[in-house]
Amino acid sequence: MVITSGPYIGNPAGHTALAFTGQGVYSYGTPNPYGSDTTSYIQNELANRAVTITTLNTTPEQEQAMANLYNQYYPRHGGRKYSVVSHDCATAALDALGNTKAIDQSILDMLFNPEAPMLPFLPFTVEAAAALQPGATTITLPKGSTVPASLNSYNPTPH
Amino acid sequence: MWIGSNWGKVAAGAIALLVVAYAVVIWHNGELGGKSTYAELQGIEVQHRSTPLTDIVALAENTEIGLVIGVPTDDQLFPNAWIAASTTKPDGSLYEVISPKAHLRISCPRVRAFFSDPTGASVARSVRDQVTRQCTEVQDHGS
Repeated sequence: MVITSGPYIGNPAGHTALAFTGQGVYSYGTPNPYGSDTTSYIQNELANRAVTITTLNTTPEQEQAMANLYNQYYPRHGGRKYSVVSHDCATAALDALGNTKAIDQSILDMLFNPEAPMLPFLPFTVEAAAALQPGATTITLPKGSTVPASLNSYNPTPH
Repeated sequence: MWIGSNWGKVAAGAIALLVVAYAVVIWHNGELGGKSTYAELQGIEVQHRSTPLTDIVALAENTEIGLVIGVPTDDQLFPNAWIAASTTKPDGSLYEVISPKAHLRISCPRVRAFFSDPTGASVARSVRDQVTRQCTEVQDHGS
């Protein structure tokens, strides 16, 4: 599931994060530990802005691989440090979604072809790529609304 | 034409100045300015998650954001909270990576002792104050 927080006065670029069934939310560069409560994360985002949720048809194996990629490559200790242009929330999500083929390579090539990119790496472009994936469903939660109970399945389950 | 006139140039310059000023303010005071600090703390959290803390500790290894303190929490899945010790957010609150359902679990005598030693005394006053407000006067369960 791709969670895209819209722009607001404090962050005109917006923010993007991924959440996986039973594994919590992975949000690079925010106060949330990887794998922590998805509902709390979204509710906190909704205090400032609208949030768009795009659900993809992914297997448990793909979701585990995406979580592993965040753990291995996106904290400072796993590799490069945070950069707002080359190592941020958008590149983390695209790396995870692309490397596990949760989004078809043809879609990523079309939008982010390095020789003739249609779009920059930004939170809303991650949302656009996810929405183009066959079978994707998208809902938008207005600012100040309550997180639907249907998303509780994305909260972490105790080991 | 107005656009080519001196007034047009002045207006264009003023707009450019406003855009730059907005970008600077957002970068320093908005959400974007804190992301690199949170990214560092998230990395530390992942690295140490499998080793639950039983006491407040200081990590001086992080060269990006300076001293970082770790505190035990009451969340079994995310047993440690990590806090930037040298700086706070523009609104004065802590830069901390902690499960949204967790609370710090540390006794006040231990916190006071920690902030009395040389390392703890180097923690920013506002950070010390906020961590101290979250300690418990009873003996913490983990130690």
